[in-house]
Amino acid sequence: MNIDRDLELMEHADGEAATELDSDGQRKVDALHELGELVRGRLELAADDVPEATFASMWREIDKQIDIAKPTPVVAPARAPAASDAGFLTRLGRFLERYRSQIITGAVSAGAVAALALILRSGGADPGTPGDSHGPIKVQRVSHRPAEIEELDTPDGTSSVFNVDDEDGSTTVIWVTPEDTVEGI
Amino acid sequence: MRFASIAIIFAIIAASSIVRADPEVKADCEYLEISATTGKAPAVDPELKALDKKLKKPPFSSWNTFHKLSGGPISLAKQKPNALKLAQGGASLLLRDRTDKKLELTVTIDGADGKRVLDNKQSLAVGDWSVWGRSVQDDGHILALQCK
Repeated sequence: MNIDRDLELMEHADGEAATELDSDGQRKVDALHELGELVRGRLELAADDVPEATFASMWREIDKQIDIAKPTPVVAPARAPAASDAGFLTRLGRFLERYRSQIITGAVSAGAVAALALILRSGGADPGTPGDSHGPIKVQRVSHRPAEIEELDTPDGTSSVFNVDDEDGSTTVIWVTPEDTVEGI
Repeated sequence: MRFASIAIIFAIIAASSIVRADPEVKADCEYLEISATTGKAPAVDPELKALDKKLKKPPFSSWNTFHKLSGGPISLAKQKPNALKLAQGGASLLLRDRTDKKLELTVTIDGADGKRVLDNKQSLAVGDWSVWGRSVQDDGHILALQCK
């Protein structure tokens, strides 16, 4: 018995060998193929002979065996109260697991809104206003624009308004002359 | 889904509170109290250099000697009146509002006798001087203010 020779023939029979066979080996491989066809045909005929009911009962048995082999899953209703012996962390974990997608959605939304708020805040705030986080005050002098007098009350005198302009800007001067001085002039 | 909606509502409320939290509005100012008199020779205190050119123009040109009576920095917070003790009387300053270009001020000045001399609301450009003055017999009493 030559084991190497048999292995070589088996490889040829399976179509896995790349080498050429001699005529004797080729005959043996052909015989193996023929034998395989005969066995396959016989088994197919035997399968046809098995009654349908027998076949169904066989499948049921197989299913039972599979069910027994699998660990029984813990079936709990979706919103059932936590078991009395379950700890707070277990319940919290279960809650987070149950609402995972909602929590992620909420967190992402909150982040987006907060970012938007910060952008709006930095864009909308007065950049020259002291006390904010924009660094030193940027003074934008408007040259030669006198102050706008909205109200002026001088109880015991008369007032005059002057606009003194020079290269340093515009200065509004409100001058009050007491009534007694006016009368004296 | 309900949980996500609640989270979004809380996020919006928190964000709007951030937006609404205005930074403190204030103005950093400098004031000068000046006496204007007439002397033999013109004289202006070196501390009044910022106003030197203006003091040569009307209505200040009636005098030729200007001395600083008091002065210094003062910080104004929005809608918080600041009392200013002057060498001749007193004043109060109120920052009503401001932008980066303009300031809205209310200024009152009282004489040494405590009587109200002036009550003024004005809006002036940031960085510009604003001056209030009054005649006291032959002399002048001046309050100048600049805010940034």
